[in-house]
Amino acid sequence: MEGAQQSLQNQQRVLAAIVVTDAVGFSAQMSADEERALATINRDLKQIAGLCKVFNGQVLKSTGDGLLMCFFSAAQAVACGLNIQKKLRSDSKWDSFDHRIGIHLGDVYINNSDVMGNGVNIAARLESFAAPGEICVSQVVYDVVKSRLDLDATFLGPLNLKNIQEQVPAYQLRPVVELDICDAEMTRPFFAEGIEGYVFDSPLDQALQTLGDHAEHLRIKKLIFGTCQNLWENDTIVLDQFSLQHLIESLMRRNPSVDQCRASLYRIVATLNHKEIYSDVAEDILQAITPLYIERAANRLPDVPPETEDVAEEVAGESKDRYQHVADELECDPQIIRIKKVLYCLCHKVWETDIRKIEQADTAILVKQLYQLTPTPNDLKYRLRHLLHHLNRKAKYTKIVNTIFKAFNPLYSAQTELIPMSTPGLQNVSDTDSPETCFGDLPVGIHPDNTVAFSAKAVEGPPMGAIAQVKDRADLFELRLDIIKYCSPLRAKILLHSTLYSPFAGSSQEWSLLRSKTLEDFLREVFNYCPSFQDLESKLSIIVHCLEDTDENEPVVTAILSAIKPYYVKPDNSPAPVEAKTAITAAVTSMRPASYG
Amino acid sequence: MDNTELLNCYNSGHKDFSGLCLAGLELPKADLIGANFSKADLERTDLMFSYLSRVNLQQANLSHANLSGVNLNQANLIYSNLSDANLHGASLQGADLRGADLTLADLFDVNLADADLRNADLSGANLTGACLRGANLRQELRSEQTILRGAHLRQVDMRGANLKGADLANVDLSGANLSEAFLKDADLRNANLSGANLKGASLADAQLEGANLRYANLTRTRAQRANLAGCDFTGANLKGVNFTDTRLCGAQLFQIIMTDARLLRADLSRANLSGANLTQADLTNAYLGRTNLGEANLSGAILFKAELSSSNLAGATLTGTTMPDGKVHD
Repeated sequence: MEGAQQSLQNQQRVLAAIVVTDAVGFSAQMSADEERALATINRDLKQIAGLCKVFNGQVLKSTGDGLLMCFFSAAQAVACGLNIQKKLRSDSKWDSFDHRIGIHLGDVYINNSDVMGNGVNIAARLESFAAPGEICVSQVVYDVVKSRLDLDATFLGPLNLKNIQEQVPAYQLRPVVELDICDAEMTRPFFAEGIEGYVFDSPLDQALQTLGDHAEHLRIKKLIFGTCQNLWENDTIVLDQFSLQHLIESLMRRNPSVDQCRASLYRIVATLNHKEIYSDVAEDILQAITPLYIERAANRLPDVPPETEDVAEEVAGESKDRYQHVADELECDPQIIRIKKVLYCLCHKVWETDIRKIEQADTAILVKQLYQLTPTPNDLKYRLRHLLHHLNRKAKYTKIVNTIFKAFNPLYSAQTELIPMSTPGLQNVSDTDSPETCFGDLPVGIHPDNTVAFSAKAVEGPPMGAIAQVKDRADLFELRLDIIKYCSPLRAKILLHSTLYSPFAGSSQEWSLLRSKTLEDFLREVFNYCPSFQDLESKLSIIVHCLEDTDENEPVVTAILSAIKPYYVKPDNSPAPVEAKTAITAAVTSMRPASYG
Repeated sequence: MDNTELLNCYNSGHKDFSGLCLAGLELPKADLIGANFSKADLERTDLMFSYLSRVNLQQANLSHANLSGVNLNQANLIYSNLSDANLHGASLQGADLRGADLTLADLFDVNLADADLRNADLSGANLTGACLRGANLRQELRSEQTILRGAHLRQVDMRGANLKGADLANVDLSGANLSEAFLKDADLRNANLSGANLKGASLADAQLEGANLRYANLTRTRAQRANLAGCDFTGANLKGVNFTDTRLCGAQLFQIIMTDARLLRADLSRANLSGANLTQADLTNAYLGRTNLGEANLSGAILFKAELSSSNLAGATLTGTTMPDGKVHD
């Protein structure tokens, strides 16, 4: 963590898809009705930021009437852009601005306070070329995503952008709007608000209809059933007992994001005989339920401040068991995943990196378990500090640990006899939010008890986060085999070479480099070059389009990615907006390995 | 027959090219799955990235051919001539290479998992980074032996491979994974096994004289009756190893960890075991003539009937050790 902070001081270069949005007519509206304009733009930007999160992007900064966002995948950037336009257009319950969006893929520089580079300038210029409610993307972006997304695109030709020397070929993208919605949109102003419900199916109804009418509806059901139950069922009588709606709901409950849902589906698909058929089925399912996720994310935006909810619950839940009460309080915290990770670790003695397990764990039960393990606040404090000592992101988790400690306070204060036991540090817990509050009295790591329980192994070993699930990179024989089992080892080497150095063109120099290093050597370099899985994923999927034989190489990319994934620590799925920049620098690559001439 | 003729022929359903002279053709990325090229002459043919799974290349001449990146899974390559062929990064999973001539072939990063290499000649071949997991290199008869003499096998993956009686003298197997491999009777004299993983491998009756085993992992390796004279074990892990009846004379075992090792009747004369950890090791009947056991930890070890008279035991820990006379030292 500290290393990342330090590298922040210097400028870092990173290849990313940059998305720039801008509200049309914001200034005009401001001069006409300032309050309304501000309310509208705030809601719009909140929705955009929410969608950005859904598509694993990061908001870098706000320009007042637009956002600057960054994605490590061009496909997700475009998908996000399209969904922003779709969502803002269909949301005519409130008035919203029309937004222009520009997307470009390029190197950007990130330093402490800002992001810049030609990539950002081009994205901003492209945005000004977009028609209101549409998206303008550079040719690079279009080439990368055209095979994956269903696009309604018009070639704009090479554009002369202000202050950009070279012409930039660009495409205009329109969100694909289904015909019936189009009609509805045109007619809506003539109807009263109440009719909206009839004209507009809820996303769930739409998904149910799409999937129910699908030619492969039986396979759809089987796959969702298999994913939810972890058990394959061919018997239609059994399947009939589960409604599609119930299955989709349970699928979404288990998988809080589209990506996780995709991963779960494909985990089952990989075990099946008709892989190709079922991957199509999986894609259809995902396509149908993505709007549900978007809807869910949009609804989660705090239109109602959480405090009000909290108060309401407090009144209603007088009789609620006190663990649940603590759990509820913790659930309100935006950092709930991290909080649960800490609770889970203290209860189960493993640092669980699998988000799904964390999500599934009942907070109230974790609270109860931890409380039973720590009958006094001092016990709790000791255990929390103990854990904190072994975590990588100390600063971040100090806050988490404080939140937990504070939330647990009512449990202990209920037992009056325990209050005198609290330390000075504990007493002012409720006064301030400072990270040092709880542990200011005893610096982390100096507590004499700290050293007792931890063996030398734990100290020299990998961080706790790495212990539980991430595979050991010391032994790559298994990884090698997993890759070459399904593809030509030479193709794998060429792809990795291209990712690490430059697209392979077959020169004798490149061949001799390819012969001087084994696949294993290349894999080790990749681990150094790509600090996160997402980073590698986006780099590989871009480079595959820069090589000959894209069709031959795409399965190789898939093989590499699925084999290498377990060797990367899973990222935390709960990045708070303030973290955006830190997260990027963590993902920022070190410079390319020393090139060979 | 030229390039296009051959492809047209194949595409029209005629897949039999046996015995034909096809030398020097250029067929990169060709799809020739299941074709029959037995006894064909394919010398110097360019087949880079071709799809050749399940092809019949029995007794075909592929010397100097460019087969880099090809898919030869389940191909029949029995007695084929692949000398000096370029198979860089090729996939040969489950291929049958019995008796094939692979001398000086480039097998860099090749996938030979589950391939049958019995009686194949791999001398001088470059197998660096290759995967031979579960491959069969077993010696059938004394006269028919898989030859890997002088082969480059750095980082090779030979987990569970059957290498019984294979000729691996002088090979570079540094960093190789040989865990659970079957190396009984193998000739590994002067082989470089530094950093190799031999966990659970069987080295019974193998010849390892003068081999370099620095930093190798020999946890629970079985090496009964093996000849390990003069081996360098510096930094190796020998926990629970079975060295019963082995020759370890003059071996370098300085500060080695050999807890729970079985060294019954082992010949450890002149071996350097100073500072070694031999806790709970069984040295019954071992010969320790002029062995250096200075500062060694022998607590709980069994030295019953061991020959210790000329060994150096200065500073050795002997708590709970069973001494040659059967008495337990306290």
